[in-house]
Amino acid sequence: MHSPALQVTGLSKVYGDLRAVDGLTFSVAPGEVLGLVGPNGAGKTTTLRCIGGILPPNAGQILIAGRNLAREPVEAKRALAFLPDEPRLFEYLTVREHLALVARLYGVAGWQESARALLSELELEGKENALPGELSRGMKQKLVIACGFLHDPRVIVLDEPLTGLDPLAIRKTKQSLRARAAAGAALVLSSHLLPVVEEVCHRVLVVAHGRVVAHGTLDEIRGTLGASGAGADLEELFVRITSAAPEPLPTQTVPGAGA
Amino acid sequence: MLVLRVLPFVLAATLRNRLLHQVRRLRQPRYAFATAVGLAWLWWTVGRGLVTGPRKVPTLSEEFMPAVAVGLAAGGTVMLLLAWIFRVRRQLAMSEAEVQFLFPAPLTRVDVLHWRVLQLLAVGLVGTVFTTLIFGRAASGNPLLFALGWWLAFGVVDMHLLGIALTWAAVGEGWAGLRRRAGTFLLLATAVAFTAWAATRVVPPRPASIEAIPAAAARAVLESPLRYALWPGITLTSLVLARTPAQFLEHLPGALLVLAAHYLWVIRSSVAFEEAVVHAAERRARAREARLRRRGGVPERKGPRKAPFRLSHEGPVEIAFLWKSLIANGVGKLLGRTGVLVALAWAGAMAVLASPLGKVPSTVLGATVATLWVIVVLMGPNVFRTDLRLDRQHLDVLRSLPVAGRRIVRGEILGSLVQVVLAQWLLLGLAGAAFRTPALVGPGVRGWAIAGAAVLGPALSALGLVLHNSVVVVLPGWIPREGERQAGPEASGLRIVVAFGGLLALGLAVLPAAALGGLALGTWAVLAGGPGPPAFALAAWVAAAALLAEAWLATGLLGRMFDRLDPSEG
Repeated sequence: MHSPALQVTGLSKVYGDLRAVDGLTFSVAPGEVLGLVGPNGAGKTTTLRCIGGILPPNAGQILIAGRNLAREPVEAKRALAFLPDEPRLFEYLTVREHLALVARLYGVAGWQESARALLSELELEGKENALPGELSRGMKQKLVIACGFLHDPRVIVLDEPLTGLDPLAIRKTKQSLRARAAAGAALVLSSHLLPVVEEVCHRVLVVAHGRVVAHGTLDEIRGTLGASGAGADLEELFVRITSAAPEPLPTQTVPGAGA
Repeated sequence: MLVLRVLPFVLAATLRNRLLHQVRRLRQPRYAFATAVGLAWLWWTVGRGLVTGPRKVPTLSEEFMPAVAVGLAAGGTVMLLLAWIFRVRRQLAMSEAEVQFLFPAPLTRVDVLHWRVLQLLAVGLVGTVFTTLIFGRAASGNPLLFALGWWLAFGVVDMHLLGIALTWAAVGEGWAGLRRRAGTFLLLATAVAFTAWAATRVVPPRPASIEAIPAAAARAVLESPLRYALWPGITLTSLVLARTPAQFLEHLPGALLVLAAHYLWVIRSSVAFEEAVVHAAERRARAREARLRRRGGVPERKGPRKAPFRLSHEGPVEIAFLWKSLIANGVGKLLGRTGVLVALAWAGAMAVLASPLGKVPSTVLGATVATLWVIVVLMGPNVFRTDLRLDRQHLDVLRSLPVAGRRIVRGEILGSLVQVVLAQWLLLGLAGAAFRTPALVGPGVRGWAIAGAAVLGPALSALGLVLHNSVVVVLPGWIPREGERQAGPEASGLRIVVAFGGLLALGLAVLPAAALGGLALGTWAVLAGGPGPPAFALAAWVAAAALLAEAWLATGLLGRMFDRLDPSEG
């Protein structure tokens, strides 16, 4: 049994009076793809942003490749790629320069070769010198994916990565994600496209009101619903589970930063 | 430091690509023309002196230097205090791209802060070059020393503002953050208390003449304890104004000390500022996207906005555009603005009339309000912009509507026009009320004047609005998209061409109307044996009719161009 590539323990994030994430605990092993699903406002993006080092959590611990994100942020983030839902790019950096920037930030030796392969894989060949303003939404998303994969991360966090992609690109990206997982990377994939989650992910974490309401393989989740869950697909399970999720508790105390 | 290797790469690539982008646009004649005008302007203002050698530039007199230094230091101190009070966080705002690329990257919090500090200094350097080119010689006589001093001084100001933002971000963390920043607040409170006390110790100067006031005031400050409170500011401004290397070196150690203190304060701020930065970046991104995505020009704001009236599915389509514009500008906001304007004007008028100044003929008051009316007539079209300029992002949507271009153009302009006219009529009413008191302007004269102005003003504004909107239709690429930053010779040339072109076009368009108005006035004079107040009103109405006719024809022409417009241009 591998030690988890990503381990999240008791993660909490509070915005003012809103407890966006409330004590989430889960782990992802190398080579595993975890699907993170939940209704709007469930705390998925906040969770991913905390794992990505963008937002500091109020409580809990995040270990990336065995490194504590709070205590050893540089070492932890070196093993991580965060692919956001909206591709925000530098207005006046070309495709190649975005990759060069990432290579420098992560210290990727011989990045040109990897970049060329990634651009080919993601069908961005010929766009090396294009500025973001000259790219479609889907191409920008592909560039963000290429930037995320360039340093060969051990943990990849993806927030709605397929938004804006055409069907062919979606298929290619899914293949790409599977290939990374097969190569040993741990993936956390948040998406509202439940068939994609069902197809790509080994396990699913369903969150509502910032808390885990179901966690496991599809069969395990079906099992928790008893006979009524038999044969249900993820969409059906999602509707049943999230409909029955309890309302959030009011915020009482804000734990000190301890992640 | 990794940041030192990354930031120069990003800045250099950004600058290069931006320039290349602008150079590529020169293939289009209009951008080439704008760039030529901008370069000519740059040459005229700063380039000549650099090539032809130093011209005689009037420089700041030596005796005024202490006064200027003290004045700038005092002003700067007050500005920074206001930044503390109003929790200015601009310096902490990073772009969404920076958040996405830097925050998950293997960088520490201090690395990201270094990025921001260096970025502010780099951006400050660009500003310094331009400021030096324009003001350098006049301010200090030595452009190089001025540039160094200016860059350093504004580097300190930027870092102070960054420190303010970090402090307030820490307070946002709750009690823990507030405790960590307790020392900063204590220091701030002590500095403010000391400054306030020191200000009371300044002996009021008794200058021999008006000209001697600045020097005497500066001397009074420099001889009081206030000089200690203003020391950082005085040191920095003295550095900026230094004329000789000796003067510069005299103030340099102090300035470097201030800079170092600020640098340490910022870098050692143990603040989880990420959330503040992320939220600021998100707010900016959301606002930008809302502007880009909203349909029909209705901005997305917190909560719905009340419609000004119920829009029927029948009737002129122009009314639908007016309805949309009024919502876009916020009916409540419009009424609120009007209400505030009325209240302020009324309170001001009452205060003046009740004071000893009340003896001043109220025609002065009336003339002031009338001047405001003139300003609104001429500048209103530039201020009220809920028309095609606001909908620049949605030209494609507007083009897809099953409505003739001329009706779209007229409908769009109608929204701004109604608001300008409301403001004008309000001011006219106030002017009329102010002129009521003296017998100088009789009721007849007043009535006819208001009747003429009430029609002529809107007609002039209508023509102004048509000209402003014509730029969107004729030269869509010249109007910056919202959130788009424009800079460089192209942007300068563009502004100059649009401003002067607009004035020229307005002048030409007014000529026929003025001629017709003059004809009407002359005809009345001949028939009635002299021009009375009604004759002027009639002339104004005739001129207004001519202006409106021109506006109508121009919008028809613009409509045809709109029907052939390529929204992707630019």
